[in-house]
Amino acid sequence: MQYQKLRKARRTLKATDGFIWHNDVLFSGFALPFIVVAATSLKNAAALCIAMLFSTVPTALIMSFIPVKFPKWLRAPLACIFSMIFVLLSYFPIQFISLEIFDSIGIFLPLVAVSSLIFELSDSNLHGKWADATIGAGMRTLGFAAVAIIAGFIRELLGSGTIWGIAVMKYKIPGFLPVFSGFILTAFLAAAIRQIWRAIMAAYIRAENPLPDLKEKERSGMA
Amino acid sequence: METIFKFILMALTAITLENAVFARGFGVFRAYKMSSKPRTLAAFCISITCLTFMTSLLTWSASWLIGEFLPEAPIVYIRPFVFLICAILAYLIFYPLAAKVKPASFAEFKDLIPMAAFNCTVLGASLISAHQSLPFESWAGFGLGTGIGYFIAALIVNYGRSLIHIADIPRVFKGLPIMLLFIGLVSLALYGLVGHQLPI
Repeated sequence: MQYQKLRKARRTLKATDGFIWHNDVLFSGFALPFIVVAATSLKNAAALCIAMLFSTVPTALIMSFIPVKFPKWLRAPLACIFSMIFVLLSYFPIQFISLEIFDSIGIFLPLVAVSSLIFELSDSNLHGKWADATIGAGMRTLGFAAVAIIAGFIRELLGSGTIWGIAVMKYKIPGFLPVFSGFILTAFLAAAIRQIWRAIMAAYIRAENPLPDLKEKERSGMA
Repeated sequence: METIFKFILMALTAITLENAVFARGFGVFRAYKMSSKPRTLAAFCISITCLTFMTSLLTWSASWLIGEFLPEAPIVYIRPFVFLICAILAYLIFYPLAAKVKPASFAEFKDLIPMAAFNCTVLGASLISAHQSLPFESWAGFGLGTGIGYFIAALIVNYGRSLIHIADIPRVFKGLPIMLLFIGLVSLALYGLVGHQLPI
């Protein structure tokens, strides 16, 4: 069996680690409370994406300059302090989304500063590699944003009958808004992305290793 | 007597009706990752319970001080930052204390303590208490109950994992998807107990 095309595709896709390749939310389960509880509308999802962008990218950049000798047990609190400062700065652009956005999201906005993504960034060994750290954090934020926006769109459309607060449907299923539906929707999104990846990998393998023509085989066998 | 009653009542509320994992999704990732290792899970949950309770005591004090000396301050900006400092203080007290009290366990599980201190459960419990303007005994009870509730939720996730392990699950649902479905169904059961309104 030939795997060169598959290996080449994997090498290319690994540059998107955390976003397309092994999405942090759907493959690893990072930052689930924000998707499951808070992302009940597109506005909430947008606000969470802005907060996550403000917190992860600058924090990853700063943490890449922290010396290797810095005690490991103090890296996490330091990362959380920087992250919280940037999350509070993100309140300024977020307020333009909606007047009620802070009431709508509640405590989940400041909690972005202590999400599992921030902890992973504080723990990573990217000292000195500020470009890799920034790109990696950016990819992870994009991965989170993709899932948050898809989940927010589905839950708002089906749960409230609106898109971005504008009524588009009369029929709605309020059961899409509580926490349990967030868990179930995320589970199906995670399963769907796995199935899509399997299909893509199988297509690459099949392109390089086409199935033999069975009728030709039978004819040559009979001859 | 009334103080103790309020403390216990709020703790029970945090354990059952407002469970950190099933009602708010806090710490799902960690509970799922550690559910295959019972000793690690137990050490992590004990750390989270202690840290959540200690942080609750510190954050109530901070909230009271802010209310007394900075009543005009923009609470939306100050409160999360001050609460994070309280969580860091609790961590700085707990880390060396754990090293002194249980050196053997500390050596084995010291990497879990930062994970236990800096997650949504610890800070979330204090932010919820502040949002609901709870009195001291309820605030402390909610903090302790959140930690205990997380412990119980982690045990349920561990039990679910053992049941799922022997079941015939479709390939695409193996791992995280089926665990999220399981947690979602338990959350649905608790939602039925609470009613139709979950405060944030």
